[in-house]
Amino acid sequence: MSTDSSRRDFLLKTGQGLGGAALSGLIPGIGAFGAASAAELIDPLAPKQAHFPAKVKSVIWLHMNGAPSTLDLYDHKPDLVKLAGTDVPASFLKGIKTSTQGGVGKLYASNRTWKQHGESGAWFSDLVPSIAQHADKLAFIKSSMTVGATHDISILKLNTGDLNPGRPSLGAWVTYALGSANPDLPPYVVLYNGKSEPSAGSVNWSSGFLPAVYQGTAFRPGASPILYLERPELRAASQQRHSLDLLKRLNTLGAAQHPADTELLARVRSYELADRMQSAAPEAVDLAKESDATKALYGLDDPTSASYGTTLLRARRLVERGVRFIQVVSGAPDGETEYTSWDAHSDLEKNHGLMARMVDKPIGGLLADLKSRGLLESTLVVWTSEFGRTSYGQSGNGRDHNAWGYTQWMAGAGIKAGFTYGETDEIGLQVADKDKAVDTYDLHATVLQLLGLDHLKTTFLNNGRSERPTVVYGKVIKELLA
Amino acid sequence: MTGTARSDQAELDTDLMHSIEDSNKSLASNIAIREGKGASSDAKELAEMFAQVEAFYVKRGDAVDAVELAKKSRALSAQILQSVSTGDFGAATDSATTLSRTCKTCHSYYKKS
Repeated sequence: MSTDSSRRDFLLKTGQGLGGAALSGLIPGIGAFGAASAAELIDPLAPKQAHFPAKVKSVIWLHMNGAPSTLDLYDHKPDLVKLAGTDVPASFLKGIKTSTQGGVGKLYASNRTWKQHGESGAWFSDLVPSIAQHADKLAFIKSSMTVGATHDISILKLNTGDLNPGRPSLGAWVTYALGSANPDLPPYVVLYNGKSEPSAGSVNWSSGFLPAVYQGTAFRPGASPILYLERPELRAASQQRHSLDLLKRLNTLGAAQHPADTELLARVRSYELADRMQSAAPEAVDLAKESDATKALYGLDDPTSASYGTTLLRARRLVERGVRFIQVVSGAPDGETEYTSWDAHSDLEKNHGLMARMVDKPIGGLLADLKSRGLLESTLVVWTSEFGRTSYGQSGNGRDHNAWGYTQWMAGAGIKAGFTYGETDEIGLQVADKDKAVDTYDLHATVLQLLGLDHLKTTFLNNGRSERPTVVYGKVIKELLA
Repeated sequence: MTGTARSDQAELDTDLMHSIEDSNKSLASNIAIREGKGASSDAKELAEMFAQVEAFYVKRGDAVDAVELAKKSRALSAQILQSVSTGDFGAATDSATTLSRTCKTCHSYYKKS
């Protein structure tokens, strides 16, 4: 037996790689990613085989932070308009526990105009005219439901499938299962607009019990996307290169004496990745070479949509560079302090007027741009939120949280475009047919399926228990697939 | 088994529900790692606990849906036991996922007050 093969044999038997238990084939299902190779043991981000051919290479996960009222964007309910100002009929409240402070208000209709668009005839309100232009690219899930709690808890469920911290986010599972498609950039990037990181925090792009290497990397708005990535001014590029070369030589000597120490080898790689990222990451988010027409397409010429449009244009650039999962959290327009999320418990007209203007043109621009570049054939765009909002009013002119029935949509690779799955009841409060209810786990299972991953076979052994992205649930919504 | 369901109670014992949740997670894991002995043990425990849930709601007399869902869960637990005994872990996975969805359906009818 050669030295190489005995070393590999040793590593496979001991399973001491990063994520070693998983890669060493101790976990059923992991075999579908291919037997652990020496490269995988050294590099946990090495590309891995999917379970079956993937329709999607990259996912852009558009989280509308604060929970928009999809009743005022996509879910047209003429009966709600007719019944506005009256009490909610008891039959519509059956099976749900409302917790609105001050009780359930009268049914509320906002001042919307509605129109059908495209060959699909999907309804859109006047708040989203740009997205409406892409009606025939979208597949609506109008029977979305979740667990309603505080925003932070339901956002955690949206991203990790659990109400408590500790589980990996969907992006982390994807990175773990598929590895990286670009060695110069993180495979899982989080983008946001506004002054600070999203309030719900980094637990929403955490790797949970998976190795930390699979967590998302938050790119800040502005020219320098990653903190502490830039080389100090007093240090020349050549000095840094020489230092890294020396460090690499010494580490390689050490590694030769301790071939089982994969952590050392991973560290060597991480120094090199950081060095490459110093140029790759700023370049990936630098919009200087984008044309004025492209910038206008994303709404960069409007102060209200400029910051969100910038994140989506960056998202497209990251897709072009092979980043697997891009999680975009909506914030607030630059300088806006009164309305910083979609959370319209009051003043829904003002709140949604601003928030919709912030995201509508950029999202429409993103869909058009991806399509014209041929990227929509390999990219999945998911428009999602932690929950929706109630048909009954709150504070006179707002809406409360609604976990019982709301709308999300997907567009792009592998999706049945111009299609609507499920519906809410006549006033848009609850999912009409409970058998068609789509919970977070089902959405995650469907996204994974499009990436070529069987959610039941995407497993990791944590403290002796086999864990999967969909916890103990999950059903691929096959009707949404092309 | 730690939980019990006394039919003279107005609500199901929380411990019983936690035990069902724990056993269900353990079952999913044991099926995934093809640990037949553990999966069988979990499925048996679940069948017994769902029988308690069923008896509780039968006694209460005002929850037809819950009785039906408990029966369905008991039947699914038996199916899982059968699939595991023949080494068909794929079928066991499908039944276990349906079982989890059934739990969720029941909870959406009968929320904790």
